[in-house]
Amino acid sequence: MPFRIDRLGLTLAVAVALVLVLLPLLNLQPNRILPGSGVPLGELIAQPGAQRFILLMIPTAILVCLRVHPALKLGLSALSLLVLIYALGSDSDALLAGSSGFARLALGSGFWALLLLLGLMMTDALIKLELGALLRLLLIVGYLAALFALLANGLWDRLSLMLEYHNQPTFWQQGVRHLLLALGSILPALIVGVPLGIRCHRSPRVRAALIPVLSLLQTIPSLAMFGLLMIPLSLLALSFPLLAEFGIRGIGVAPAVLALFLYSLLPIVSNTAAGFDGLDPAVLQAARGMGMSRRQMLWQIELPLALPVMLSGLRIVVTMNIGLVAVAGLIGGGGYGTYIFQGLGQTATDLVLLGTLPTILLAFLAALLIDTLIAMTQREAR
Amino acid sequence: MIELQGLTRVFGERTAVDNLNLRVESGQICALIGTSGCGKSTTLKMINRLIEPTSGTVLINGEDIRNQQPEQLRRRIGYAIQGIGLFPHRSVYDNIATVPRLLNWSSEQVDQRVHELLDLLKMDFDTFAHQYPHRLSGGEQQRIGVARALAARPELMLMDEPFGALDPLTRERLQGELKQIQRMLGITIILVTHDIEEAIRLADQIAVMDGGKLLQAASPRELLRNPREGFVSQLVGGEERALRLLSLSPIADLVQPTELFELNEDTPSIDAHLTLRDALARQLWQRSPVLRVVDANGATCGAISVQELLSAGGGN
Ligand SMILES: Nc1ncnc2c1ncn2[C@@H]1O[C@H](COP(=O)(O)OP(=O)(O)OP(=O)(O)O)[C@@H](O)[C@H]1O
Ligand SMILES: [Mg+2]
Repeated sequence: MPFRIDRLGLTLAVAVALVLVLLPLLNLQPNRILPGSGVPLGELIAQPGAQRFILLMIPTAILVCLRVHPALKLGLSALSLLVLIYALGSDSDALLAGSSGFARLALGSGFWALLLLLGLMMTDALIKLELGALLRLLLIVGYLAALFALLANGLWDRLSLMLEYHNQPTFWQQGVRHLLLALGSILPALIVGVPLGIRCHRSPRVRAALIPVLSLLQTIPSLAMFGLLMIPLSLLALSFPLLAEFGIRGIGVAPAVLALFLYSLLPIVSNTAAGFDGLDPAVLQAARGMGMSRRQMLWQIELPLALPVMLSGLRIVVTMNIGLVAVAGLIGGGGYGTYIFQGLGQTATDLVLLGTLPTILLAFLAALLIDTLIAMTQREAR
Repeated sequence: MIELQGLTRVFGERTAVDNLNLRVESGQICALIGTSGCGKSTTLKMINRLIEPTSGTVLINGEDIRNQQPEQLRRRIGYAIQGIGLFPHRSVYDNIATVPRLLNWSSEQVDQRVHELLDLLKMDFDTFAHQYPHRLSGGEQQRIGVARALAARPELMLMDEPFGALDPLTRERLQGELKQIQRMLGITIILVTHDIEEAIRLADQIAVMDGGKLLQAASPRELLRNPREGFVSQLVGGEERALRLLSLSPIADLVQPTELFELNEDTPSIDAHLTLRDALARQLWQRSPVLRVVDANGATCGAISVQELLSAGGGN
């Protein structure tokens, strides 16, 4: 087998080496708030976990530079990341020994950089493997489940991120709330947006009137939008106390959901219209000529064929909204944004992370799920 | 029997079809021919109510089509178009099953019918039934388009340039198959085409249109013999006309007893079911004024001479 160099792999491997030398994997903080100092590589490398990681990372980095089977690269880089995560947990006791009871270990910039680089290696290998969409989804979800199993086992319980987690008994409730806020605005947006999109497709006049308005709504920054909505909503709540009972108030869930709903409309409407615009006129004429009624054409022909384009609009909306819900934390909407803003207020970086990481993960998983759906709806049609 | 009576359709300023009268007997193929934009497709679509006429009537077996719901009417009429319009998200099987399912046939009936149709179009069920259309060649897609149009056993088929996008060989083969199927099922076909050769090969009646008007409707033979002055003459005329006429008759029509000629071992032979045009071509090619005519079993059943062909070939 000729040993040919993989350029991307080489770049990533060099970057891994640089990160290990230059950036700290862990920071030792005197307490929860004060910034810490990086744990020097020399000290880290004396630990058994870190040694195991380095021993595995060396062959991984070398193989990633070569053009070997992507499955091998995927397996090795995925294993390296698992071992890294394991090492940081298992070494933490020894690293903390001799520090005060308030001292904490926090994940350092080196860890985040390695996470990114190993993630890129895995992504590259995964793409080159050309797996079926469903298999890819299962693989990723399985891997994440393994990571979570490690964390749930208390592996990182000495790291400050997990300490913050254990301080937040409502973490999972906030997660559910975060998703409910995101999806709770998307569902009405679908119910309103899909028919509007179809109208836009059928009538250029409706399109010319509607799309600019929706685009304008999109350009309003989210905080400004929350502010704008607070005023009418609180007025509404004042004049109709019954509404306030149901949570329609100036702050909290109502303005958040309403704002997200408004943001969601443009991608849904324009992708629905684009999906319908792209339908083959011959197909539609054949369907009508064979005696399908309007409704049969819509459900049996137009919607299924426009679905991939519509789903890519949904993908935009889902990832966007999961991110925007975090901002809603500021106006008391709940969700992971709550931790971000609390953490910012207390300058507790790890509490901020406890809000950001799950938000990113949720958005990533949602996008992955929809990509799988798109691939499955397209497989037959194309 | 289909009758178009005073059929007119105006789009804005433009009269796409202008007072068209045409009668197509049951079990016949009628070809609508004319230049681009002369109103052929519009005429066809008024028959299945994809377009409503501005004035005039369409009668199918004496009954005005306006008495039927458009959807019900269309399910009774086969429809095949140049773009084919197979549903890309449905398998060949489900494409063919479209109209039977709209008509609520049972799944056994549908299944049996799909088998029959793939058989009829000489396509292997196991190979094709569960393919998606984008995997098929143009000719295969066209066949599926025809099968789909035939699915609910329509008595009338409308075909809008069904073989437009095919290479000449495939097109000729499909034309042959279509004619065979049509004779076998005894259905009526109204077919739009640009191609006079296709019209002559397939049709019992050719209707020539220009600028929305019907110029002449006649059998291919009549049209070739006595075309109206102007557009029709241009369309069928030219040097090809004599050969086209010959192509309309089988050799059997002009076979003479072998005794009239001195046939020997070297006399070239030709199948009786071929056309007079084929016979003339063979005579030219073999430099032989007389051909031995043989039947399907290869037995000599007569002879054909170039003099007979000359007498049959000309106009009036
Ligand atoms: N829906 C419509 N609205 C306006 N004008 C139309 C419409 N459909 C057809 N026309 C016009 O009517 C005329 C006849 O159109 P038609 O499609 O019947 O032509 P055709 O003979 O089928 O041509 P081709 O051979 O190019 O398919 C054309 O001038 C066309 O522009
Ligand atoms: Mg046409």
